Amino acid sequence: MVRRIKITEEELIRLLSNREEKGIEILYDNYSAALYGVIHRIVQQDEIAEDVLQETFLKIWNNFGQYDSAKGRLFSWMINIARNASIDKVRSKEFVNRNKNQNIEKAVFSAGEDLQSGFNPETIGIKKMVQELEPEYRQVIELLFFGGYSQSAAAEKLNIPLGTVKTRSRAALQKLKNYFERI
Amino acid sequence: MDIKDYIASGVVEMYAMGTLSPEEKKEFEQKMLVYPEVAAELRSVQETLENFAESHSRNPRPELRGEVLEKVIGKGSAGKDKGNIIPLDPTHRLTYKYLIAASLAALLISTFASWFFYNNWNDAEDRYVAVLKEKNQMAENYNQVKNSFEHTYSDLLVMRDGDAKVMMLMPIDSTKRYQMRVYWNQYTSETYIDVLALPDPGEGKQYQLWAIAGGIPTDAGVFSIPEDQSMMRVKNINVAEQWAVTIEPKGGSVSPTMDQMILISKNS
Repeated sequence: MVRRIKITEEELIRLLSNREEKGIEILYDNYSAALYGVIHRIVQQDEIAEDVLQETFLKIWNNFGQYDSAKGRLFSWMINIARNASIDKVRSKEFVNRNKNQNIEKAVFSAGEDLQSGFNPETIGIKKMVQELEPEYRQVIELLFFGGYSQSAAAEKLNIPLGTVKTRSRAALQKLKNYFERI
Repeated sequence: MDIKDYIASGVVEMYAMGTLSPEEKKEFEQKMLVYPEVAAELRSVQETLENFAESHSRNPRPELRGEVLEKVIGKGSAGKDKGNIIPLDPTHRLTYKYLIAASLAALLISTFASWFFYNNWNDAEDRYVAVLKEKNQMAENYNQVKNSFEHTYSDLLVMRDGDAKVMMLMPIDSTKRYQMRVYWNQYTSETYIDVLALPDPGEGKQYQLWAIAGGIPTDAGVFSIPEDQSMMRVKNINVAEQWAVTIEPKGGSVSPTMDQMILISKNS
């Protein structure tokens, strides 16, 4: 476990805006495990996940000027960059050709067992709780979050009405929120 | 739409997960500026999603930290005094190998091509020289033919001249076979001779032609046997009744040496 340097988000944003190298180092130490987890969850392969993580940090560093704190939290902005880069990768021709027998849906639905594989003691408790989330909620949230599905695409995929996707995704997030608040 | 309904529609989650269309996204961001509830809800949803993401945390290889940071800072700081030196990674080395192989191949091909074209050039040069020689030879031949034709043609013109009198000079000594013709145009006075056969004049001697009129011989010029056997023009003669050839010392004599007369024509 990499030691985290405690720093406020404002301070980190200031460092990154000034393009101070210390900023990206702190960013890596604080967020690489979370971002790598999201990426790996989507691309499923160490080598590719490492490439995407590198690409993600490059994008964060080079496009930091596009970050607007009025439009959301920094961590969420970075997670979205990592998610989008991963989803783009999974949808790329190169990736599809390489993994003909392992498509994205399979990756998403094989999620359960994968949750145990990361060794991050700090998050083991949370993982357990996420796993306890009812499958119908987890499916929706995973398709939307890791699969890059729109709500209507997810509805089609799961063969449920769009309204149900909306209520389930909202409910799933509410349940997660409650779990996380209890920690 | 009531703002509570707007929030309840699930739009906040969609915005947080980046699945809104650009127009919906714009609308949401405008609403967020107006309604603090929307912004607060977004913060809450984002925190939940962040926790959800963190629940999937996975530590990358420790060595990756150095690799990523080097790449990011190395690239990001292009323009700073650190420079932007790209190390030779294996793919680059491979590229260089291909480049070197390609340049060697190009060198080989161009060397061969040079040799090939040099030989071709030499060949062409040789053939050119040969053709040039042949051409000169032909030009020379042509000139010879032309010259001989011109001689022949001028001879022919003399012979075909309707005004010219043709006289055959016969040997004094009838046992000899010496002969010569004189072509004389009495209007223009032009006189030509055509040697058929003459004895050797001897060392230091030449032939001299005489035109005889009223018993008086007039010098018509000295001559030798022409090499090309063509006709020769001699001095213009105004009056002539008879023609004779004597052998005289080189340069000729003022009057003919009578005992050296070898040819004479009939009196015309």
